[in-house]
Amino acid sequence: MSGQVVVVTSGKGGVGKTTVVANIGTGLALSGQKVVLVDADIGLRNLDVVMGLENRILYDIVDVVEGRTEVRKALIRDKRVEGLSLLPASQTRDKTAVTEEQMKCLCDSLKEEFDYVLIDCPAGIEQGFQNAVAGADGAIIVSIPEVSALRDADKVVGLLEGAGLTDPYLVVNRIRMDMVRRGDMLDVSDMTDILGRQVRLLGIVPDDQSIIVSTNRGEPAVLDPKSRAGQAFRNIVRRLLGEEVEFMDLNEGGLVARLMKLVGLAK
Amino acid sequence: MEVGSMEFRGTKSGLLLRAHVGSDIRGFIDRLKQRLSKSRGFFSGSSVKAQFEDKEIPVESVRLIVETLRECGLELSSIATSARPRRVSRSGIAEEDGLPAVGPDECVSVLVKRTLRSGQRVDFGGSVVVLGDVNPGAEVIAGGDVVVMGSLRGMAHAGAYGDTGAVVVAFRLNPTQLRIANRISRSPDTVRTDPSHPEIARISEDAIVIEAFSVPASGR
Ligand SMILES: Nc1ncnc2c1ncn2[C@@H]1O[C@H](COP(=O)(O)OP(=O)(O)O)[C@@H](O)[C@H]1O
Ligand SMILES: [Mg+2]
Repeated sequence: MSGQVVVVTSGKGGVGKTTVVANIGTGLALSGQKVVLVDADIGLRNLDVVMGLENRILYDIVDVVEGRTEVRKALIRDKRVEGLSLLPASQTRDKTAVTEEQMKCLCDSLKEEFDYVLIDCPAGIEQGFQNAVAGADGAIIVSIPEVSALRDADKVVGLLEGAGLTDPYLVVNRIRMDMVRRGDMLDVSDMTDILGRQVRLLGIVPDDQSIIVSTNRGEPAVLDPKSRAGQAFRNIVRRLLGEEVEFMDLNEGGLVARLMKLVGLAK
Repeated sequence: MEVGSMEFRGTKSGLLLRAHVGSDIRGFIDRLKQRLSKSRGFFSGSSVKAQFEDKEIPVESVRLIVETLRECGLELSSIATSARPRRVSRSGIAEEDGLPAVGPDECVSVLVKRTLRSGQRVDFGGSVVVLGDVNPGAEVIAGGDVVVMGSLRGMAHAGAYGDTGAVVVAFRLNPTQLRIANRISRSPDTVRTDPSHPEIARISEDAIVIEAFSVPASGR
């Protein structure tokens, strides 16, 4: 079997890469795919925390590439979802602990066993980024509706192109429709305009407090049927699996819309 | 022609400099100075057309060559480079006949068939045509004109070695900064939406002005 290796990257830090990896990964596993999440943010390990698996770590990615253990023994099985595993980053080493060659090797062996290998990329465009993309077959770029994040995303599209990853997906995270409407935030179309047609829009995730709650609990929002961000991630997963799913109407859940519905002004 | 070599020749239309600069621009400049000092001002006051065997020459190198020639009393009137760039005549038809001397009405151009993204840069001695967008954070620097068949939202510098007649044309002209020769204009600090029609930037009365671009009436 040969699965696909997908790197999740952004250039800018703090835009939601780890959140996207945790939620898309969990969603794919819920849909019956065999998934492994690889935390390539070496030195700033946190995918394990977001997944609520920190207390089960025995070995990390550096132990694997340096041959101290087999990959199989370093993988942590998720406690809730079948078919979902995590390969944690090392917290005590840094980005230079892994080479591009080793990363490629690791990805090649993981995709023998899994349908999806999702790589959580560190921020920046230096060695850590190069390592994270080394073994990838595809890429998901995460950006938020801010000019500086978009600038970095654009730069990353160029760099991915150089690495042979020519048609990346885009996830726009943390959108706030009230701000977009007031013209205080970039619109999704402003973003896809700059990035160009080569970049495919995979999903739009609203800014949602349930993400913060779920992150602290170690339960990806995609598991929570009431979470709007979770719904956006469920849609993203279905699109990744080839289904055509309409983009969520982010206005619908707004207070005004709900009030209008209540008083019968809208259906 | 050997890398680093040069040759001056007199032609009907003036002096012709043929050269293959290579990567060692410093060494090339030194040899150019030697060569010119040997001729003891014989060429002084003439205008020179330059033909380079190089595929592309960075603008900075062109600037050094222009300065060196000027120190010896020579004015560079046109420049041509080899290979991919094509000679485009006023009729708009590409001519692929190697390296003829080019007049002021013609120029050598390079075609960039992609979008330039943040952090990417094209630097070319002749004119640059981009078949795509120039995004914020990207730069196009040209000795000649800059033409963008898409949105220009980054930085463009036309006439980078002093040609005040150079222009910047874009389908959507909305740059963060525009430079023509040694003039600079930046975008207004307020947000400007992309214009909806092609525009041209040129120098007029010492400042960069932007106007709607319309196709000039044909000569026929
Ligand atoms: N859609 C969202 N709504 C609200 N908060 C979010 C959302 N996505 C991410 N966050 C928060 O933003 C912070 C950074 O997210 P994270 O996934 O760690 O980013 P990165 O991995 O790119 O550095 C976290 O505190 C996370 O909870
Ligand atoms: Mg992270």
